[in-house]
Amino acid sequence: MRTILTTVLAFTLAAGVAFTQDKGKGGAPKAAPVPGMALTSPDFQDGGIIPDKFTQAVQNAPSPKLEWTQVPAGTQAFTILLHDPEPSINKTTEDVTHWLIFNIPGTARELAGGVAAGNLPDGSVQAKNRGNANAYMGPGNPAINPYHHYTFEMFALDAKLPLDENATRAQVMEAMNGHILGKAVLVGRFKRPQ
Amino acid sequence: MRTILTTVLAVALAAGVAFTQGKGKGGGAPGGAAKGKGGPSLTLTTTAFPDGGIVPDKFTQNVPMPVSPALTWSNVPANTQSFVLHMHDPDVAIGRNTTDVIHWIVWNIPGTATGLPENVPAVAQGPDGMMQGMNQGNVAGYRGPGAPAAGPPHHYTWELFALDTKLDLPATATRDDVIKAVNGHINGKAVLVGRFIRSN
Repeated sequence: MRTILTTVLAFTLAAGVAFTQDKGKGGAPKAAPVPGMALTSPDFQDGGIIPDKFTQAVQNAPSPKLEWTQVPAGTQAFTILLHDPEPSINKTTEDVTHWLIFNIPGTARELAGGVAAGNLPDGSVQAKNRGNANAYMGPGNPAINPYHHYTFEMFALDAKLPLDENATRAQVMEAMNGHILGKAVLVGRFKRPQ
Repeated sequence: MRTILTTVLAVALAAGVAFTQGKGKGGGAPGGAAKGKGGPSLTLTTTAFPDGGIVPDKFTQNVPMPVSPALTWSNVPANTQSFVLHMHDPDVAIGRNTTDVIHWIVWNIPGTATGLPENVPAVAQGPDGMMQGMNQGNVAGYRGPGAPAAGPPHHYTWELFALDTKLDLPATATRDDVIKAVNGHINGKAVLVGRFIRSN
């Protein structure tokens, strides 16, 4: 009896996982729904407008503060990519890299606003943005355009990346493959006031 | 005096264009050229939900048969021969990789089109030559948002590409095939984001 019950339970659990994955998440069993990793900022609402102070509407715009919760077990490091998917560089699918910071310690649960350029004391590494700086580059979409969708993508990884500040975005993406325990996204829209 | 003023204005305008391209449009985008003429770039809109807002249930897996939202686009770049529409959910990492969830991939939408109606039929090829590839559910057509109720909301991203050519791809083409084929042919791009989690 116990064997049958165990088998039934195992099947139910397996079916639940398969169903959940098919619907688009990371594998949280339906019986005990666990929220996925969440990335938020106290500086703007998800899907809303990024205030001018974090953009190219001002000089030397600081990065917004970021906070995250529901970190997957076994997370050793985080990567954050901020990109603007609207532009097509040289008619290709390459878009604009605004910020790429990796090897953020797995124990971190926030990034303070105004992250300094270059490598950080905690081991975090910043690769080059579109402006060729190892730093955050604020949104700069011209006023005449529709809003662009500045997309913060956060990856929780089971390992640190064996890369330094000269790594390209493509190299970082490649190095993360097979190591992503969780992912979270935050979108802010922007166009210049003038 | 007028000459000096004109010169100053011209330099300022040129600097403005160069700055704009360097900062966000990535140099070679034809959008840069259009911008010099003062036109906005390709724009994708829907009346189904506000950009950045919540996708209503009728378009999602909260209902048994979700329909695709009506889409409209404007400011189409010159010499656009066809459009590609790609809808994906970037919040998911499939197989621990950077591959995300594909909800809709459409190509060879005629260059004369200015939108798609609500509830595009789930067929591999439409009468106007439009093609729909397989979504994550192995169906040729639209797949509604289905992020779990436990949250957080996922960011369903519709990407519209205006191309200078039609794509010579079979009905069996994958998203990767389409994305590879558009490289070098993108006249303009527009994005629309809708968020969603299931109610239960």
